[in-house]
Amino acid sequence: MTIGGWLQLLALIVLLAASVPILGSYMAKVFGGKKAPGDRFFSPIERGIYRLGGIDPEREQKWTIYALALLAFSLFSVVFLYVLQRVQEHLPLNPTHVKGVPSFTALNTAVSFLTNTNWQNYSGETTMSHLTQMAGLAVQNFVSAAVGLAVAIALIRGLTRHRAGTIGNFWVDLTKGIVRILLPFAFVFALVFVAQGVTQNFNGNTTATTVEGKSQVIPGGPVASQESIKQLGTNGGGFYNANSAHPFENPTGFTDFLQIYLLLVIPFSLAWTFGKMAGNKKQGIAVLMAMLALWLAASVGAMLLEANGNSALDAVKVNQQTTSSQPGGNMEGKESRYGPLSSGLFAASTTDTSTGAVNASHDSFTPLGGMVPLVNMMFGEVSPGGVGSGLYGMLIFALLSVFIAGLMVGRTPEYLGKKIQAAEMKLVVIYLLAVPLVILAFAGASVVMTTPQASIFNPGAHGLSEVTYAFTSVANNNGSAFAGLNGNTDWYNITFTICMLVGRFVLMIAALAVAGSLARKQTVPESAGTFPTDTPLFTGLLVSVIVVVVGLTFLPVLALGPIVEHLGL
Amino acid sequence: MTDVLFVVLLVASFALLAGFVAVCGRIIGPDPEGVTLSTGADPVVDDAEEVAA
Repeated sequence: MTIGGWLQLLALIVLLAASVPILGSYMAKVFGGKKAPGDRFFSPIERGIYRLGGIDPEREQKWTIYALALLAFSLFSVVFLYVLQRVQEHLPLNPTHVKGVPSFTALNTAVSFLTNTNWQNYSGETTMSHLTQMAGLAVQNFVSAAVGLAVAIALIRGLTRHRAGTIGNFWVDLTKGIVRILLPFAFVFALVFVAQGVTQNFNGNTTATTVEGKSQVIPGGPVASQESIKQLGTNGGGFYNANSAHPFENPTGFTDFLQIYLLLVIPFSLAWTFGKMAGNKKQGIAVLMAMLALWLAASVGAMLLEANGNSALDAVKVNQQTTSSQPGGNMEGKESRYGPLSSGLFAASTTDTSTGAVNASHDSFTPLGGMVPLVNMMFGEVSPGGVGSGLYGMLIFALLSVFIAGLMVGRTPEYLGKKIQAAEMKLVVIYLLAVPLVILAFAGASVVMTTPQASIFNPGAHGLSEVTYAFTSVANNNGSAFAGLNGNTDWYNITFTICMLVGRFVLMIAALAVAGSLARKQTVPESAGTFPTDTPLFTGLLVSVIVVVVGLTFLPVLALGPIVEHLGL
Repeated sequence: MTDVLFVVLLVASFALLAGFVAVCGRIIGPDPEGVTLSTGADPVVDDAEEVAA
């Protein structure tokens, strides 16, 4: 790996280290119930929204009401988005006169954007009108991230409150997340993207003549405004089919770096928010370090594996060294502006979070290099994960870790002074098994049934990796595609839709139930027998538990997919 | 026709999820008897007030 690659990684870590305490503390104040910066500006906007929606911001909700409000809001959102796609040809802001989206694709896309997955079975520039992009997809980019944020905050409240019957107000948390966090930051970074050359207009297609005298169609549209929230909200759905490999979506090395930073900053900061709201920063730092360790290992791993190139090409004496005229390494499927290092870092970061944006083809990574994003998603998107979903996923693993530690020493496990008992563990197990169940069941069915098999472009181990990657991606609400699989068939559209709904809402409801159960418990004081959860030992245990649980679940399919493929090189 | 079917399926999916809320409610059981649960927000403590580990 070159010095440039290490410096890029180092610069990212430094920037994150500087931002996380600031943004984390800000979010803690926003959701903490007292004064927060920007109250003068934001409070009147929020009051207007509450008045319009008939919301009493002072009235808190039990976890069941919180969950039902979330489901009602989500149902309204998904039906609205589905209908919008179907009737877009009759609506304004459609300069390229695209037709209504086909019903199966519209269903898949509506659920995909609702669940923060942003799996795209279509080419954005030729399928969606500008109105659908802005009023449908971009709106969901904001609200789906805010919903994830709300659930994470509710779980923090559940852990930190004492004998409480409520965990907050869903409508208030949703509004605050959008108005005070996502909208202002997305607005500022959209302007930065415009300054860097990302397209932002209402044009249709412009036909240009190239220097070779050929005709080229250049699609326009409101790209920059969607690009910033695409990364900041860990959504990942690109305006263009090529996503962040497209020069109008990601024009410079700086925008590439900024996109990686944006998709990481809120999920990492939420761990800090957790520490602040728990009244003990060390608790947040312990969780943050576990997230950091997994992300760093994946990033360095993907960068090194791609920089080392393809050993099959070494055998036929292809030069894969870095020289002044080539970036070196495995360049198949890479954008030549970014090369294997930035592509490896982007791939690891986009799959460590639930973003799913891509600046390279993951299908073209080396077998082990491609296994890194796959394993990242199998971790359940907790390192640092999606906006909100990363933190509540990591806290669920933390509960499992203290339970295992409790079994080791024969004591009732505790986390933040709350006793973890049978009810919480049942919910933790539901949370941890639901996603692997749908991934392995549907991937298994797809490789043995004739019709789904026809969508797999590559035979053998690589084909298995492609199918497994697709189901892992949708079930973990990541949305990145490995490529090599035609997912736009009735079978895949429907099964992906089921996976996305399970991966989003079953886990959210389980997390909210844990929050409700813990909130009403009394906080017991620490004693000599309490296992400390704010130490490096706990961070190590947490990382180990994640690796072991995921390893036990997915090692067989990894062995038959990317590992066999690597051994066959 | 397909549109109506998909909308109905979406509504049915969310009805199932609402049922799952009830299942989770059964798992955790009713609120403890004889204990008054608070309903207010807990403010975030400032650094100076932070509980020492």
